[in-house]
Amino acid sequence: MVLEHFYPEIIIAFFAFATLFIDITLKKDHKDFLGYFSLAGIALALISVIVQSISTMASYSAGKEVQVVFFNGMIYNDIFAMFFKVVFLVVALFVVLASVDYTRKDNYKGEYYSLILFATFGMMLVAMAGNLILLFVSLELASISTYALTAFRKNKANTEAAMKYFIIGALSSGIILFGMSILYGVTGTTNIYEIAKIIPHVKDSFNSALILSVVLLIAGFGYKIAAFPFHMWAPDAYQGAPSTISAFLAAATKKMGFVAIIRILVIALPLYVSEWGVIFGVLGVLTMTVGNFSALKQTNIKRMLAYSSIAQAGYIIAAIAVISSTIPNVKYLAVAAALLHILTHALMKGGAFIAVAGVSLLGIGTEIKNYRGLGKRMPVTAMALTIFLLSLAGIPFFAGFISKFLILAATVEARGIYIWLGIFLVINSVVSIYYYGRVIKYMYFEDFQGDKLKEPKLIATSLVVLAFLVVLIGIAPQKFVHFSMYAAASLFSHGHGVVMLH
Amino acid sequence: MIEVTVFYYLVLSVIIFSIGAYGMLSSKNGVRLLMSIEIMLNAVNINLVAFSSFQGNLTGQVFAAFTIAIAAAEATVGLAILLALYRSFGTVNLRKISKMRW
Repeated sequence: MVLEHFYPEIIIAFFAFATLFIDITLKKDHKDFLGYFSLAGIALALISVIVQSISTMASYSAGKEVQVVFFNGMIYNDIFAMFFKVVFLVVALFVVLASVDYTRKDNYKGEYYSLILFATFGMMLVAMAGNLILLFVSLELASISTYALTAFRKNKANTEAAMKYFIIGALSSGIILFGMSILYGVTGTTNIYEIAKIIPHVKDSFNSALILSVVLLIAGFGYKIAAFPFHMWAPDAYQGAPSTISAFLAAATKKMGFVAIIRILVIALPLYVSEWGVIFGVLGVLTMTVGNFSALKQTNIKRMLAYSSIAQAGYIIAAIAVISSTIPNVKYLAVAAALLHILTHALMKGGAFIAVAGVSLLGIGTEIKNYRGLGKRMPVTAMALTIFLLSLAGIPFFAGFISKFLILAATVEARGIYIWLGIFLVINSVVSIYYYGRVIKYMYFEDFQGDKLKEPKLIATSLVVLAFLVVLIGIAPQKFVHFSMYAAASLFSHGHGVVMLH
Repeated sequence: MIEVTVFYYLVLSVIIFSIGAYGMLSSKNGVRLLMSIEIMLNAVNINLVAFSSFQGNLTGQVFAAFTIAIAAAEATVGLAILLALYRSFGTVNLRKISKMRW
């Protein structure tokens, strides 16, 4: 049976439609049920992805062939895809859990939860797509759902953020599509793995067209992942959107751009690895530097987190640039490091935005100076936010340190010019401690007269679990590193069930 | 008699794509901006259909059909956001909408 490989997707799609239908039958006071209902769906899907990936990894290490290619090469359900599905589902799980508290007073809850589920479904399909058509359609499914989610409350900040996000998103879709059309025009197929086989045989005169397509694809996906020259929309969109949706955008939607660009460039265009390696190296250094130095002077915490998310994307882009190294096996380490940082960044940044959502729910503003004395007023939220911020800064014993260390290890292993990427990464991490530390200083070391507040229960729960995960990856990273190593190896095995282990 | 090769279609589509991109970057009016997005996506459709005939398979035309559907969905959500924007700001002039810094 083919369908048994797609239980997670079937569950998410079913719950997305079911949420819409149940919404009609519920009275206005009972709509919170929809949140718990979609939470159950996401939890089921997450369990089935984890079971699936554990059994796939087990059969890989036993040397058994696993079916990876489905529907005539439309879908590649390898461990690389499963890794990203875990990231998306974990983020969706905690965003929905926090949203039950966050949207308690809002209307249109049915639409809200089903749009989150549809966006998650689209992102899961992007992670698995082996065909440019499927990739583009599911990319748009996820993007269009999040445009609508950003404008959820329809107030001034929401609609302005949504409009800016929509304009940039539509522009990037057009650019991505143009790049894809050139790729199709030169090779005559839209299957990513077929393109890889045809490209070595195309005429030399098509060379410039292919390089143009690489540049267009990087520019288009650069908008989605908010890389340096294309990053200006991100702070506005994250600041204006509802805080739970900012968590979703920064932690999940952004990662969708990474999975698409890694799959297309690594699989379809390995011949141009030196070209896109250089572009990614330069973009990575610029992105992390610009992100960090812009974050230094921010006074709004959501805007600061948005710039920090740009900086973190820079670290991931730098790790992707290391794939172009010619030293054997370094590319595995580079992809594994990028994947692990994608996972840890999703947890840390999602958690930080959910903490902001909890704080703003109690009527405290989003300016950093409003966080004065938060350590006494909201002890759980402040403690969790501290853990996320320390982890983002890359302090040892937290998740962010492990993944940054892996990226650094990859750059050092690659030797030569790649070491400069590592040097910039270290310098930037040092700079970033200043603005993360400033928030912690306001929360714990500034006097403020105020009552202790009653923290929203579900948001506090999701924060505690996320903080636990961040600390767990920091202390016992073996399982997670293992998972990302397998994912990297399965990416380079080109759809065959063979995995090399070292 | 000039033979019309795929090159001519490419030039046409690049010109139309650039017009759309210019419209997106320069227009103040939100509705005009949505129209520019449509122009960009349609330029890609010309590209896809021309390449489909050049390569001799139908994949490009299938892709173009998907693109048309997605462009419609995108325009719908874009118009809905623009409507919400008009209701809260009272204008569709995007230059006047800058509560947050660009």
